Amino acid sequence: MKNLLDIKGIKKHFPVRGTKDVVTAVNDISFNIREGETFGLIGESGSGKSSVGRCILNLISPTSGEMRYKGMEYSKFGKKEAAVIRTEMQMVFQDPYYSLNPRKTVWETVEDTLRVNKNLAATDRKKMTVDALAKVQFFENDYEKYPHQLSAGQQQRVGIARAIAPKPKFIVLDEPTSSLDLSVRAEIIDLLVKLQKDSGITYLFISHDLSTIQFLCHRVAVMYLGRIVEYGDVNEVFHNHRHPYSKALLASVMKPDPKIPRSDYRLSGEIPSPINLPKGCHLASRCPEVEAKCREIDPPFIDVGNGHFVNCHHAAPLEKERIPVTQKN
Amino acid sequence: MLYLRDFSYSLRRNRGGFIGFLIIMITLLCAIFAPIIAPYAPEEAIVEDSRLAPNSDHIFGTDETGMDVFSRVVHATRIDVTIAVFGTLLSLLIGIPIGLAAAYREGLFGEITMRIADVLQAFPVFILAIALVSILGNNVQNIIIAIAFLNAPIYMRFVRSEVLSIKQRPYVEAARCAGMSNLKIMFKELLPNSLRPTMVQASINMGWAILLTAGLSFIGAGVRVPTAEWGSMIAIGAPLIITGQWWSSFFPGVAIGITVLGFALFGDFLRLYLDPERR
Repeated sequence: MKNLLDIKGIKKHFPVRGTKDVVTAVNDISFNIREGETFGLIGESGSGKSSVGRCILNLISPTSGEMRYKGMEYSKFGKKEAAVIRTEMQMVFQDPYYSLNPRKTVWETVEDTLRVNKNLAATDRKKMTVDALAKVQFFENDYEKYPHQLSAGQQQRVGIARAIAPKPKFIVLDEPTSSLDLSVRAEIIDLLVKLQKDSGITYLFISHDLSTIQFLCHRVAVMYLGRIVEYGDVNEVFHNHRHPYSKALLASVMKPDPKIPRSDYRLSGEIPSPINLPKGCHLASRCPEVEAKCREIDPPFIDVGNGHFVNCHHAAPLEKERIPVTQKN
Repeated sequence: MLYLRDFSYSLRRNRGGFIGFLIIMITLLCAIFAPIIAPYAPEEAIVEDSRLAPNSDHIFGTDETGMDVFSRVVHATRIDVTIAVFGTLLSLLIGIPIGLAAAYREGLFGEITMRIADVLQAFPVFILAIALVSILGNNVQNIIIAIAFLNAPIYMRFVRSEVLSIKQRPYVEAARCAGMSNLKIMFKELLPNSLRPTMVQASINMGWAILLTAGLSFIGAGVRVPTAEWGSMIAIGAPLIITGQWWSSFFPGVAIGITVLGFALFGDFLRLYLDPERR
């Protein structure tokens, strides 16, 4: 599979008001997203996962690093070229209500995204709007409704319609289900899966909801304090995780059956401040497997096989039996 | 048409707003049809009829120089309403775009404009108005300019604070994601959602503008005697109150009070009416 996006070494610093300090939200992140796949980004709040998504869409510009879309380095594009790529990359937001303009109807919300393209004839624009809304099960009698007249699930479907209307190749899904009820969550996830099957859209799925990620994603990356600590195929990462942070994170997942034994792998202490990042491995102060070198030297990415990389000094080859990885369709 | 029906429906369900709207309409009608409503010319002084108490010929009585108070109260709506409406419109026209720009482009431009607004607002309104009018000269046009100048910082602040709070909303980000230009984002996404407090304030400020005009005229810095204006009419009648001839000050005062109340009530209604969730 070809890579749709290549992200190389992006960093994002935010200045702290009134001081010379900077918050390092994204700290030297590299990964690639293949055409047609769903790439998951897991991490707790403040780990920088949303910032990564916004950097990729150029909604905030990264402090440094390279981003390529279909091989083109687009972060340094001029206005005109950037406008072309704009329509190919869209975003769905976390809070469905606040992501819709309260003074626009469902129809206006979707159609206005297409108005940006001046070459589009009015009839085509209308047709594309109808198509996009039909894909999320919105039909004529709901076109004139305002956001506050819709349920959260409907609002999120309008958000999705707005994102798919310009027929993008790539969508960043920034926790699209985390503020929804469970039943509605399933509906939205089914919709996203169906859209991908129908039109081969590539997703970057940002979430802290591990079970959704596991269900939806082909490959995942685990983020901690602005860095990716582990990435690979979803089954590799979920069943064969090597990084102490991933171990602790995945140990915290509730299992549907209380008889399934739960790992009691725990981290101690608090997450360090992103203003004064510690030397060496960022997890060193909390890691149960810490050694002297962890506090001094940045850990390398170790290839543990099957396209699975771990950013840890201890990720050396496996001793235990590998769990066979089942292919996802 | 649909908007109009929606408006009248909401208005009928809100008693205060309805009364306010009624007062404003009556005031406007008085302004438009003043020569038809008023039995006498506003500056027609009949000396032998001076200081007459309200009677069937002069229902509000006459003042010191024998001018009919009722005719003058009716005619005065023309000047007072003109000043209020145009003064407020002009200040909206200045304040809204600057506030919008100051919020959208924070940083140096935003800081400078806000500090200028601080300086303007640090002066007592009335004192600054007197100063402006005495520099520019006291005629209707300059009173309008003075009112615009004094009120613009208020709208600027209102719009700015609203825009600052909503510009972080995801729908603005979504608009940027779709590739909308900055101007389009400012005027289509941000402005419609940040005008509500401004519109409410504008209606209330119409009342204030009338008060300010009357105040300026009362002390002689506004519209000149004998032009019919509520403030200057009160000033003319004030010395007579002590001798029991209350009517030539009382009726223009009532007119001011009612009109200001009308705009305030209507402003209150607008706050509810402009809520996007009401629809």
